[in-house]
Amino acid sequence: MQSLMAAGLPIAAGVRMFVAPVARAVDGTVRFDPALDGRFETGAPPAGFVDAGMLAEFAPRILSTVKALEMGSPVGARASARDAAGAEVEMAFANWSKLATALADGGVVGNVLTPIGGGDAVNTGAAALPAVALLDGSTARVLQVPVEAGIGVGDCLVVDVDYASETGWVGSGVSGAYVKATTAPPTDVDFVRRVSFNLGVVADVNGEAVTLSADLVAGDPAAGTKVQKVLGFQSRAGVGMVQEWSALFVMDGVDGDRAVWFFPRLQPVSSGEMAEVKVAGAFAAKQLRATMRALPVMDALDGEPVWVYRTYLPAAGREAVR
Amino acid sequence: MGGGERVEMQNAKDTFYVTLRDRLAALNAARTVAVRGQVRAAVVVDENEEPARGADAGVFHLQWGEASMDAREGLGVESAECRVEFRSRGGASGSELGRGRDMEAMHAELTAMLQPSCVPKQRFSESGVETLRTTVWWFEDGSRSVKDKDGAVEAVATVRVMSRREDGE
Repeated sequence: MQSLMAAGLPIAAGVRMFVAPVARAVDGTVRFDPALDGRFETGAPPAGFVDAGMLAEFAPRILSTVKALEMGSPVGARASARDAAGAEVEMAFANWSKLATALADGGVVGNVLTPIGGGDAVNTGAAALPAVALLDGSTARVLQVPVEAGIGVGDCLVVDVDYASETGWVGSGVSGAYVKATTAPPTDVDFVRRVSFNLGVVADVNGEAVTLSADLVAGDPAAGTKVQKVLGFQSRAGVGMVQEWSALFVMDGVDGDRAVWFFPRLQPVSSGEMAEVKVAGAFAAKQLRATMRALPVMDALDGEPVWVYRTYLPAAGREAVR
Repeated sequence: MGGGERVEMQNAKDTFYVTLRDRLAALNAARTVAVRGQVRAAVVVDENEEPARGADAGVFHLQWGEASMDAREGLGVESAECRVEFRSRGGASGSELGRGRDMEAMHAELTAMLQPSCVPKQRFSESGVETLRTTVWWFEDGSRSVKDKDGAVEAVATVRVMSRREDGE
């Protein structure tokens, strides 16, 4: 009989983050099942999650404290009780992206749309080239777009519906903004596409078939969906909306072990944090950072509130019980 | 650290070498070297073998530094530095342009040979190849140095190769 090796400490080159939008309109979080999905391939995350990339730093903190219950004579600790509970996670992103910006800044991150030209200057981007309606047969990966739209490889596209004076959460797949009923609604028909997370980068164009490098977060486009080109992303500090995400952090050990942290609900604590990474001479990189607070969900197992689940999956043939 | 314990890391070193050799064969079948009359992918371990005279250009030479052991509880990680040297004389023309292009190709090949950077550890013996329970992993430590030497341009990459020691190693 072959002896078992001790599991040892997990050694990994980093931690990869996956996020899933919390369906704010219906108060819904995704689930992560460690039995069914614990060993998921990082290139194919569980349903609902999208890859947010490798992190430059990852520091989860369990904020629970246990207080001594002192009593008796002489007075001393006779029992313990949980005094406070909670969790936070601090991270630094290895890339700038719409997603990293949203997680780091925590508010509305707009899409800068290609302008029609000649219009008035607007802080969030001038009047955009009119959106183009998708043709029948579009999917989450392959859009059918009239050739006249002039889509090319490398273009960044936003794919979403016209704004029609609705209030509440807007944006397909991910809530991009919250429109209050008490204020004057936006008048821009492109408003949803200006805040949407339903974005893709064009990998190939073949006639009307525009293939994206990854599936759209909202899946197959709904009827009435239109497409516009995006020049960049704009974070607006001070906007009332607070982002909320579910997040998985995956650390794959070199010997086949895996640790997964699942935060069902994360909201930003900080906004706009950055760190400077020296490169050489006067050159330096700016790194987006985020500190996020976990909010609890009621666990279906026993009704207890849970802020974060951490799962450890040992490598095959390892002694990880004692 | 190991406190004077001798660390061999032979299985990890062999695995790393065979991995690079096989990957180069798949990447560029034309980059070969003759060693003791046998032609194969142009990766040699200098402490084990010498290629035929004059075959130093266009070959990846692996030179192992001393291995050490981080024996802290729960780690047990062996580690050794591997210098990967390669040079070009610019092919038949010997031109600087040819040397530059050849070196650029070798840099790209080495980068590709080093990915993915984690493979199952193997034990090679006369009776065959046995896959062990741990892995060998590595990373390139620092940037590559490049210099002119004896009419050739020469580059050196430093790779840190690591593995957990198993019982019986």
